[in-house]
Amino acid sequence: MSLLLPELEQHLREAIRSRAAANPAWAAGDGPRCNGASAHVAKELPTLVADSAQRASRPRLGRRVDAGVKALPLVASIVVVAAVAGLALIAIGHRQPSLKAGTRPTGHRQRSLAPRLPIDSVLVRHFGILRHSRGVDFRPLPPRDRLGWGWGVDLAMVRMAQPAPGVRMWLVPTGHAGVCMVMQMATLGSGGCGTISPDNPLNVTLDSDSSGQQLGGFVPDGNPTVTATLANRAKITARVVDNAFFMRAPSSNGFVDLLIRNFSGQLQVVPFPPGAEQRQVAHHESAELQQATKHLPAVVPNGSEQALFTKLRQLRGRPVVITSWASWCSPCLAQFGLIADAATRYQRAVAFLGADIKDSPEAASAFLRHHPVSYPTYNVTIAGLSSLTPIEGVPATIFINPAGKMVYVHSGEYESRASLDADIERFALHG
Amino acid sequence: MVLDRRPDEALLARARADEAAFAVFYRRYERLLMAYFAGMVGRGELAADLTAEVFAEVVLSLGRFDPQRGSGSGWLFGIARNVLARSRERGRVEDRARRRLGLPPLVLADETIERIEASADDSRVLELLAALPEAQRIAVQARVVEELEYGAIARELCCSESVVRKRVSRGLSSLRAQLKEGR
Repeated sequence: MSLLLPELEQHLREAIRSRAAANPAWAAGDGPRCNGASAHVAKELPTLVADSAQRASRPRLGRRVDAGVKALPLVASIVVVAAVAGLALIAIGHRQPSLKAGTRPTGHRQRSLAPRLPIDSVLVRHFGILRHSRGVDFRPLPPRDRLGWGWGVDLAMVRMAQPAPGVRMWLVPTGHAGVCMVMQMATLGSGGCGTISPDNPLNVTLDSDSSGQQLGGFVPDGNPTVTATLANRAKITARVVDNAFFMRAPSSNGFVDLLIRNFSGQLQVVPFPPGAEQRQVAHHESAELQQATKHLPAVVPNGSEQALFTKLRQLRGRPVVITSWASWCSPCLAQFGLIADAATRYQRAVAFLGADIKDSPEAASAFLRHHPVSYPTYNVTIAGLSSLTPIEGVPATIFINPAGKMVYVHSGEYESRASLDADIERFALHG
Repeated sequence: MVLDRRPDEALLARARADEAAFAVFYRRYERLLMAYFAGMVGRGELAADLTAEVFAEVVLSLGRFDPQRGSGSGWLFGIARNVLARSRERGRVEDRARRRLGLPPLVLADETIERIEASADDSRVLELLAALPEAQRIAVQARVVEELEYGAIARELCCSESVVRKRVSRGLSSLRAQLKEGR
């Protein structure tokens, strides 16, 4: 069906574009504030990246000396002396920066003198498409709004240039050249918007299992996960994979905006101190950490239809949720984060199983590599799955109560964590 | 675009920062709004001008839309009724919103005007179509209005062809029944 007035559509689109450009606050609007802010940041990004590249092209020491000489040579000398003193203190492990989220870190100036950990590369996933870049060449993909709320970036990974066992990472803005990490939880309803600022730093304890020792109250098993909480209670989970810092901010719908910009020389790393403060935080979060570490990602289908049926027999007596999906199915992708989040939260209370329908093994594996889930998933046919209970298509979510009875089939995608949780509680747990 | 499954409210919430979301909303309602106005005023040029004014008003008022207070389509047609009432009161089609946005005047070909006027006959059907359950509306619109193949619709909606056929069939039955009732 052709439009009656296509030129009107174009004029209106141009009007929106020009209004948004002239007045970013209008684009930000009163709705989900995160989206607007995100658009604003994205618009700024090329300039900032260019600035960053320019800064990176200059020797860091040279910049400091330039500034110092221009300002006050004596102060520059003092700074150098202080830097040496700070490094010496760090070396003997006397510095213990605060870990409390939401408070301005004490000793901020001193931390800027701490050794820096070079960033090797950045990897960002945007609607399932992985983009890999190095250093300041990182750019977010342009926003697309096809699959869910928000801008579709649901994880970012920073890979270190060298091993970083037992370090604490602070991502904090430090003025014009600081880490600017804008994290937005683009949700409707729950969630929040966390903009990391000097007053609202993101403090993440980065544990590594390279030592094989128990760190922070849990035994690293190859994929230790830690959780950081922002001052506004937005939570971020971080997982150490190899030598990388894997970050994912869960939201009610599984999608978040995560923009990271200006990486050059910004991550400040201090030695991991075995202090009481650290233990307190670790104890507080250890239960969640332990839960998270039990759910290792499934990156390939775990078997065929028969394997699914066998699994169901094994699970008799337990509530089960079967989620059907396919790599070609947009709504499935949109709700993947929600299901994965629920599987982690419900742990052993509910068994989650994936049913991959009409997919080639290669496509399914590729999809799972980009969307790892903590539960097993099986290649099945619609007919096979319908032998359990009739389904209309994908995504469909089948709820089985503890008595082993199929009590409910939800057709279509879940759009909120609340609706999914309500069905899990009503049908799987108490059906 | 018709197959875009995001609800109106979501599109309107995003439209300020995402013109593509607005475009989906526009395409979803352009014909319906045009048919509504053509039915009310009987002249294609006036209907086109009124439609343009309503959408311009929508753009200006995006910040005021509150999904808690009603649906996106209800809000749109509320604006449409206001624009029509004010235009009738003044004896000319209002253009305040278009002037504020700096929209150029519409240039309409005779053929377009005829199509708009012809759409008045469809207004009742389109109105009923808009009132169908979402799944049926999308299926009927895609199959009957867009004339897409069942297979293509099924692929886009991630369901089987038989499901699409069922939705189309139920949607058409519902339309038929309601049209009979209205006679």
